[in-house]
Amino acid sequence: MTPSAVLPRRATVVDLRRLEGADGLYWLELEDEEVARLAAPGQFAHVLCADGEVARYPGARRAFGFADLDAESGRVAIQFRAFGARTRWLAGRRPGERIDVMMPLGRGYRLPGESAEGRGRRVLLVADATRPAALLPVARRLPAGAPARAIVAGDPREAPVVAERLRELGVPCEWLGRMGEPDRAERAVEEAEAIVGGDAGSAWLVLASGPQALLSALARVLATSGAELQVAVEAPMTCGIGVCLSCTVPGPRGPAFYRRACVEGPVFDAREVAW
Amino acid sequence: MTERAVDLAVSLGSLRLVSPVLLASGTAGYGRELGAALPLQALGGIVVKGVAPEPWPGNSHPRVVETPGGLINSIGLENPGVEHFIAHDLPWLREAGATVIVNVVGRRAEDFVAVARRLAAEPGVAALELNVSCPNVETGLQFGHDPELAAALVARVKEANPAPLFVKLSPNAPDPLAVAEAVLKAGADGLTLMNTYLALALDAQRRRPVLPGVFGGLSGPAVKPLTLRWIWEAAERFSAPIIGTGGVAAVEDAVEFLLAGASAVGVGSATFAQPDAAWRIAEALPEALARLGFASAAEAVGAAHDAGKEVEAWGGLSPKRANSRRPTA
Repeated sequence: MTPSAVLPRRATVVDLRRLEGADGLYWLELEDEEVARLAAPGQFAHVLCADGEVARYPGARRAFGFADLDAESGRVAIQFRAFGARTRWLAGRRPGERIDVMMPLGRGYRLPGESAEGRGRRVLLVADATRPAALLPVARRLPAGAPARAIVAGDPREAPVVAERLRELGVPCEWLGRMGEPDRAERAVEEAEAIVGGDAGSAWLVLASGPQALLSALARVLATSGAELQVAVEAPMTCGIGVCLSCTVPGPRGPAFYRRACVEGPVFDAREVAW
Repeated sequence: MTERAVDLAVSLGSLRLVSPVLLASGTAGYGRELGAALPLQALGGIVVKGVAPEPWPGNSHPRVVETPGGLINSIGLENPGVEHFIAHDLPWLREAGATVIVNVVGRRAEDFVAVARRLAAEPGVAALELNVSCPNVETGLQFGHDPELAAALVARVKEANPAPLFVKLSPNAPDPLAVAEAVLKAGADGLTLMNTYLALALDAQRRRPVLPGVFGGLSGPAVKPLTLRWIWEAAERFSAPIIGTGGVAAVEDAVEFLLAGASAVGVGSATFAQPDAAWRIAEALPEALARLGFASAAEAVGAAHDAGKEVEAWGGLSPKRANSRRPTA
């Protein structure tokens, strides 16, 4: 059982850089050996993006899926866009500073080897370049020799750290579309469909992260393929621990059966979500 | 240590609490998430999220938007219904040793009565909080705006369940204190002040409201002075116990709520930023009260009303003259 940490911890910023090729995107690494080792890919960090009195304001946290979980270096990473007061505050941190983070939270991906159903499947990672939760953390945890490949909607300049580390890990990766291109999600979905459909679909485990448009399109085209699809949904979170109900996701049993993205998710089996 | 000597126990009528600090309804779920990591029995209690006779789905998304010093929410009282609460949550809360106050919601009077009656049969419910004030549901709210309807509802609920009954009022009612007076006359044991303040956030880029239901309820530090004013006014007019909630984020806020006349203080959306906010406030309270010369929390309740007389000593002038000379900033 992966721990889900309700209480905040302090983590040291070890790297914070603006991703030059991208529009306001940042890469942040925190030192936390325990979380780097124990967190599941797909889980998230709920970061207090304020200090002083503002740190007590109810909306002061922002949730970010882990962009990397490196047990070897003891570092966890998030990638974020600075566009509001909170994320701009975060972008202004300096290495050596300690920030307040609740992590790891939520339920992550079930990897092959963790379920009877998933065992022996080939793994396809699909992500948007700006939401790379399905890429590095999963790639690092795949059983040795497990066949995996990745499709990313976007440009490697938007996620240069991810691109470089995927290369190092030897995961073949296709980057489709350019920055800000509106139909890049479609191109990634078409490619995923071609890969999974061109093979016996049931041989595939597809793990995805990205905006809802990407995830829902993926769920649609893979619905009858026999592939297992797990998606890390994006839902605005306030508390991160299941008490505010701002991030609920409608389930297949109707609107009265919402589930909380922060506790029952953010990773759901695509069949459990009413798209 | 002086702070150890401060007695935090408070009585709200027949409801005894080990501490005045509560988890406010709608911000702590049904206790499990926080209770897994923090001791619920160390607080005065938990006011659980609203419970309806049947499961309610809640509103569409987005449901929350951050605003300066606060948060506007439109959750819509999503809840799994009273049977689920009794089967799934209440036994766990009893086991955890929590003092449980159940927030009761409904669309019609029958709904409130049904929940209250169903809970009367269950051990471990210390009190009820009647939610006639959620700004995010279309029906049910009328009870909180109309003194006569509210009074009739209170009488029926009280008949269905003899537990101490607190009525959570709406600051959006035309005259909240008229509703307060009516429900107290009808048999309510106390008041919870206040629910959230009707508010609007606009998305200028898309030229439309952020929330699909247009308005939502504002909470957070932004509303603290507004809530403090209602506690003060209610304490001036009524002797019934008050649970003050709305914008408490630090121990200083809790102290002010007590001084204004609240006997208990609900920590609400502050939990979203700091899950242990209520515990931190409860821990800091003895020292904060001792520093002000109080030997107990109960002693601090309403103490600012007595102190109002000290204004007379201002420069040796009469209160009226003194006030006229006070800085106006």
